[in-house]
Amino acid sequence: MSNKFNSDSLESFFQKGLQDDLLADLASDGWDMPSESVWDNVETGIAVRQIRGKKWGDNKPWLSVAAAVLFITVFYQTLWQQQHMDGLQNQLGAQTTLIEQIDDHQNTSQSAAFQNSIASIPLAESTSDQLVSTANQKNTSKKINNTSLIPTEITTNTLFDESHYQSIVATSKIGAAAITDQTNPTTYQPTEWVKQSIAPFHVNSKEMKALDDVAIRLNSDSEYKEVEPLKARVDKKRIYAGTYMSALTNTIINETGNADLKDLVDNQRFASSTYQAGIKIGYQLSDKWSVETGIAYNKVKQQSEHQLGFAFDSDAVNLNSNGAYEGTYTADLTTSYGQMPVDVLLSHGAVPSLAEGQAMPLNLKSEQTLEMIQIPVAARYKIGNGRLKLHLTAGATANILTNKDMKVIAPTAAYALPDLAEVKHQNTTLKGGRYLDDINNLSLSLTAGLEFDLALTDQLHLYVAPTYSKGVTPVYENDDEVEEESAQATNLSHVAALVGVNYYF
Amino acid sequence: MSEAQILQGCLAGDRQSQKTLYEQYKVQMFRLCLRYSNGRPDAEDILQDGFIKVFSDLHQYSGKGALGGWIRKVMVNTALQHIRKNKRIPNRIEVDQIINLKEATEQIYSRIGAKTLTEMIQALPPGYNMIFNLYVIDGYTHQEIADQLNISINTSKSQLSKAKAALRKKLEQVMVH
Repeated sequence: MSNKFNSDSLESFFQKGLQDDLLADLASDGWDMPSESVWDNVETGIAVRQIRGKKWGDNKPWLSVAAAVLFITVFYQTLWQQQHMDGLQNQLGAQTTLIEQIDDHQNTSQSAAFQNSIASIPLAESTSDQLVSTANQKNTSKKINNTSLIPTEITTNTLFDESHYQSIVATSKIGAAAITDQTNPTTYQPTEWVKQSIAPFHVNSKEMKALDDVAIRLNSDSEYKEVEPLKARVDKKRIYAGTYMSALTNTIINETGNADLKDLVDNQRFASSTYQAGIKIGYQLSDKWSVETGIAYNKVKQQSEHQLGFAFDSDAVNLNSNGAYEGTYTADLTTSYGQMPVDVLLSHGAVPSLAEGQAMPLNLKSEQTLEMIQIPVAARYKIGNGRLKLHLTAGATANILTNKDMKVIAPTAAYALPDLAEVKHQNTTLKGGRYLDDINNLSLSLTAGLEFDLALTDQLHLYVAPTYSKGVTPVYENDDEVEEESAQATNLSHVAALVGVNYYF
Repeated sequence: MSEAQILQGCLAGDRQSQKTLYEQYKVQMFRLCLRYSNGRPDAEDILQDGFIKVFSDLHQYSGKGALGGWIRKVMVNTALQHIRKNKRIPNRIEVDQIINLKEATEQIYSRIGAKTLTEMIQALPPGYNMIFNLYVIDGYTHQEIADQLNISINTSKSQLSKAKAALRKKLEQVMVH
């Protein structure tokens, strides 16, 4: 069979067979007729496209207006900025010329002209919290070679005023900082002269720190000139000294141990009075942190109540010169600082009516007084920057015992005894002696406090400081290993409201 | 209505004019869609999308050449997009597709009309089908086919040759019987 369907004839065959003209009549079986749903879908598709186009078309005018406004705004903003920069450049050029003339030792009138020209340039308001506040950088008039070559007031505004920044260069201890660009400050090169600089100055620079010593030079060709020290600003000064006393204070006495303390009213007592006063000196490590130490006097007076009972002993009584019988009885008082012996003299009538061994209960008070010199060391952290600030303090205190005193106060009979005429005590005050040997001459405590600081002036501050001090080593310790039942340790804790003043140099 | 009036009406968004235009070309375009598709449902999708595009882009018809020719071009492009979208354009033709073609011709021996021819073309593998339709039926050059399908001219020619060989075999088998 011949191949009837060569390439060209095959193509013709299909072309003719599918030619639309020959297919004008629709096929009887409808194979070439699309279903009705096709037109419905076409209609829907057309309608959807028309809605989308209409929305876009409706907004076109407004979008065009918005685009035009945006373009005009950007154009004028760019134009204005360019003009502003041009104006500042011109100003800077004029000032630089004037300064260079003054540096060539021009006469006073020209330096005055410079000052006047500086003064005439309006300084921007300081708005950023990051800038050192104006007060910190307040300088008195600085004289360099008897000519005032820089403004009488240097503030951060002055430094970063674009018309000045090429004319004022500040250096720090770590090198020279050319403050020529607010965003790209400094290259540092150490100079010998800088080490001798004593003038504190504060600038806003990532590299320079507050309290760095600085010098001023007018331009890159001049020598660095020493600047007079700034007046101290209280919250940035290095050294301060203060005095304080406790307005309200209380000492908590904690006894621990196995000692039989039953004759004490309770195991945790408060001192009857505490007095604290001292002086301190502090050093500012940074704007926030300070360390301080000092010396203080602390006096703690404590009273305890005791209930004693003696048994009448006819052998202990003697006839006194008045014809009355009296006897001396000895007891050990249990105190916070150990056993305290006390002699109690009981006077009876001419004829004692008490039976042998009859109980004679007595109440009496004892008083212990400790005087200490305290050496505190603390760190202080500042919160806030206004006139009223808060400081957090924490540290330790060494308590050095300087005096210890114990005495008995007013023994009284617990109830009226028939012939008990008088109760007196002897050996009322024990100074020194073996009974006080177990009081430690040195004890340590930890302290923490809040200091509410009010700046009355730049130098003078008043503060109120609630403070808590906890004894970490005992003031009294009786490590009686033989008689464990009498082992006892006493720590002192203080709660105080200190009131004081600090003076910042 | 004359074709110019129909055209104006369609451009103005007149639904009746659009319906008239659709009715005028629907059969012709549906046959075209059948050739590019692998069945009736597929062909109707192409036809529907094609006419939506015709009415949306009718403003782009410059008036040069017959409106029917412009509509045909839109429909062919829609068919090719449809094929691409459904990933029916193979990278190469598999041998077993030709075997399937042989099996398909068993059913269409008795009828060699437009329908039969259409079905024979439909039964070709997608690559052969497209190139055969574009070149033989719709009059595209190999360069135009290469640009449209992003293939080389030689690939277009070889695919056409293979498509014709496959159709020849079918036809010979029909003629023998």
